[in-house]
Amino acid sequence: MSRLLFEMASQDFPKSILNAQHKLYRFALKILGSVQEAEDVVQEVFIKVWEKRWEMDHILNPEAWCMRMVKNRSLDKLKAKANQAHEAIESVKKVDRHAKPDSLAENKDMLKHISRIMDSLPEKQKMCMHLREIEGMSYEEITQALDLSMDQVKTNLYRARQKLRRKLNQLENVGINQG
Amino acid sequence: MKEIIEKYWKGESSLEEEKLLEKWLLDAPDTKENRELKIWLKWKESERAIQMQRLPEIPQAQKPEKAKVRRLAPTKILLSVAALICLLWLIRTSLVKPQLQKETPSWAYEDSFEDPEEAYKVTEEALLLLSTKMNTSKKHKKKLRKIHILSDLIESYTKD
Repeated sequence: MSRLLFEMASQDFPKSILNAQHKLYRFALKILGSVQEAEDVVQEVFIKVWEKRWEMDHILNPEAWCMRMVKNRSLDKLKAKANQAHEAIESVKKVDRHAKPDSLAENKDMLKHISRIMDSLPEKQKMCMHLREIEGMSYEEITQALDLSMDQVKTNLYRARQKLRRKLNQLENVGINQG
Repeated sequence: MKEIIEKYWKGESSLEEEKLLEKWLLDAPDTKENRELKIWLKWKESERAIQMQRLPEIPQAQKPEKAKVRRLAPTKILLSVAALICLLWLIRTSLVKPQLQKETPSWAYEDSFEDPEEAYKVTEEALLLLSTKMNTSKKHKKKLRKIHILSDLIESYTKD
């Protein structure tokens, strides 16, 4: 679909959701680890938003609402295709991440290690970290997106950051090759 | 900044503090702890750079056009009725009421007396005068009736 056609068709589409498409995609990709499936999930969510676009006034935070849909659909797909998602993670690491090759030349291994650390986190911790660290969402928005309480969000973030700090410390002390 | 870093690792920092920390890390000195945070920030930036390549397709609108018409129609009717009522009320106040006011002379709305006892006395006199005149007119009416009967008789005789 060309950019022009997309823009024409999007006149009735809620602008806040249009602007959040890359956020939704990154979140789906974080859960699924597959480019194709992440794109499919975002497409499904967009169709749902289109069907409900006249009811959007009742939704306080449309972005968080869409994030929740992405989470639910991604987890459903993940359950159905667990093995395929694991293989896709490896291919995604090579293709989609590390957008600036020049800056990665010296720290490529460290970045890969951090990716592994993040992927090894429990599901809730991984999602909380992604929404907070990558997308810059507030605690309130994260509770709405993940359907968790404020305490649960803070606990998950605390545990994830503590684990990350320990692992980063180990990498610095022991060295990358042995990490 | 040490305080913010500690708060960050404990999960107690605010969004503003985290943004401040990221900004500070760009030019931070090269210590062990700072190196860990710097590489973490680098990783986050690479993740944020990921964008969707295939744009999602937006379905074409058909159903919502009907829904829009249904929503507006009752509102339009209500507005038309309200406008009609306002117009009728305006007509009444601007045309009919002044007409009624013209028939009644202005002095009728003014108070003639300030003293109520004086007003009562004058009213009593006026009513007495009115009743006297009414009685007088009754008498005249009887006389007029007789004259009327006589004129009818005369007319009937002259025709014959």
